[in-house]
Amino acid sequence: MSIDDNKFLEGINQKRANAWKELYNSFYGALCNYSRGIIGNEGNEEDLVQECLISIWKSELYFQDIKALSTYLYRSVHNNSLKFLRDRQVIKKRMNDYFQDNITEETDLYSAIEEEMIRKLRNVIAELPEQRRKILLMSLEGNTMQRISEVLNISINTVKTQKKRAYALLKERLKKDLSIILTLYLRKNQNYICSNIL
Amino acid sequence: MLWNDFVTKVNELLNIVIDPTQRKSADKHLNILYESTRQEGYLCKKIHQQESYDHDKAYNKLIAGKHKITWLRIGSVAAGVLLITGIWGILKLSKDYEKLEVPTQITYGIHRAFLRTDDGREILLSQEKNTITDKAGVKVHTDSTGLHYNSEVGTEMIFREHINTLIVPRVSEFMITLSDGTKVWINSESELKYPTTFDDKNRKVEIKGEAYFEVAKCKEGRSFIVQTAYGSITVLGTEFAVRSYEDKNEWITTLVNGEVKCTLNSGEEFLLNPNDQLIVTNDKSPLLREVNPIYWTGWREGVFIFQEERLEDIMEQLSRWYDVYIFYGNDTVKNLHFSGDLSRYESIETFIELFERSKAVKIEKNGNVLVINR
Repeated sequence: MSIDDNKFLEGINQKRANAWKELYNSFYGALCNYSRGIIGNEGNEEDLVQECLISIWKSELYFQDIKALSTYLYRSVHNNSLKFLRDRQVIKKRMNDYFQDNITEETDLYSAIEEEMIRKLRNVIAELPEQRRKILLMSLEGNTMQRISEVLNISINTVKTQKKRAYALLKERLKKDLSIILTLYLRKNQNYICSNIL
Repeated sequence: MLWNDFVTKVNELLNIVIDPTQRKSADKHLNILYESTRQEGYLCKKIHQQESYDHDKAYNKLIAGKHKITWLRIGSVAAGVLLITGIWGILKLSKDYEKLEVPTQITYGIHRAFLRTDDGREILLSQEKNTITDKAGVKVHTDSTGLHYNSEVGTEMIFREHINTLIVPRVSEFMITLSDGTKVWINSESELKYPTTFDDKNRKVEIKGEAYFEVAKCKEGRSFIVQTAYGSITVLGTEFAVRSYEDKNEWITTLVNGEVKCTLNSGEEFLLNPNDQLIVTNDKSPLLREVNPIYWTGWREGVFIFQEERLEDIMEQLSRWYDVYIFYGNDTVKNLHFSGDLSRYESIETFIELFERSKAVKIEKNGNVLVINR
């Protein structure tokens, strides 16, 4: 685990505002999208995700590593979303879909895996300039260089070099286990007790 | 357990998506997911979906806790006018900012500021998401994090000397991104004077009160100058905090990162390295010392942190942030020293309780007046 991850995790565990801001920045959209995948377009996903995050914020939970944190986030959003479906008798149809149409917890696990993959991808491509990002995405979607150069109206050579650079960055990040890129700094001194010294 | 391999599988999927040589996984579900990413526009759509959620808004709700930040808190005047204008709350307000709020209970500060443009307009800024164009054609965005100048638009302005002032009243805080990308967090009872675009020679702003600067590096090496009543700070790309309240007669510069040069009005110069702090006062000679910057910058991250600080100094900070006025039973109580670390978004009762727990002081609360005794 990188130093940045450690600082981030420490901040999350100790309920530090800057780490939590980063958590929202990085995970919020992915978790909401995941929840929407389960509950459908009911518009409640933000509340459900917020509920989960607030309960962690208020809890004494301590996460050993980023893996534990990200798994916990998706699992608690998953459970909360199912609870929402159960509580809402009105959405019977979806309930039926959910419990009869072979949608299992395994299906949900894989949609969580997909959202998390997208989130990590987002973190990396956020560093790329716009054109390079477009080229990368088109290329990941399986488009040929010829097609990319036509759609973006740039030369094949540009596509080639830009693609190469984008992939180089991706690979580098992959090596680092695609950890969240953070710029938090560690607090050296931590006195929490309000004591009178005189 | 089903979820045990969650992170491993995520990384495996990412590997397949990114690396064309590892096309197949042993897990058939991952292969199916991979196939779906090969549809045209699929990745973009997913990314866009995730980004469509407003994470800043959600974060602010969390931090605010049960004290929901609403317009009503600003007072019935603002709320009423907001309903009428409907759009992003352009309000003409009396110059008497202090009288804006008539509190019934003690509240803590919120994100708000007044923007005084150089044509004399005064605009109340809140957390509403909006875009305005000022008279020079400069596009300005406001959202839940603050006020942002778009450096891409209108950089070739004729109106270079278009000076705006951002006024952050008591019980408030605000953040601004200047046209060069420099970010400034402004604490309660402070003012920042800045040009909407910077000219070729240098970037210069003026601060009264307390602020935290994250100065953007500039390709052409133009320096960034922060002017205070006591002197100026010259920087090239750095993070530092400055405190220079007029009523305190002192100027405190704390460097977090990079390098800055402080030039006193007398012409005397000081070079600061990270963790250095320069204190300039009227009556004593300037003091350069090493500090832990967190004690001087914690407010930006939403915490009050103090270490062996005088009660009067602590209370002064609190009374800028909470809508509260402090009186002391006698002078000795002012000189008691305390250490602590608390969220700025807690109610003031938590502070009172902690102070009283020390058994050194008794705090009597009467409306929004606190009377402190031994």
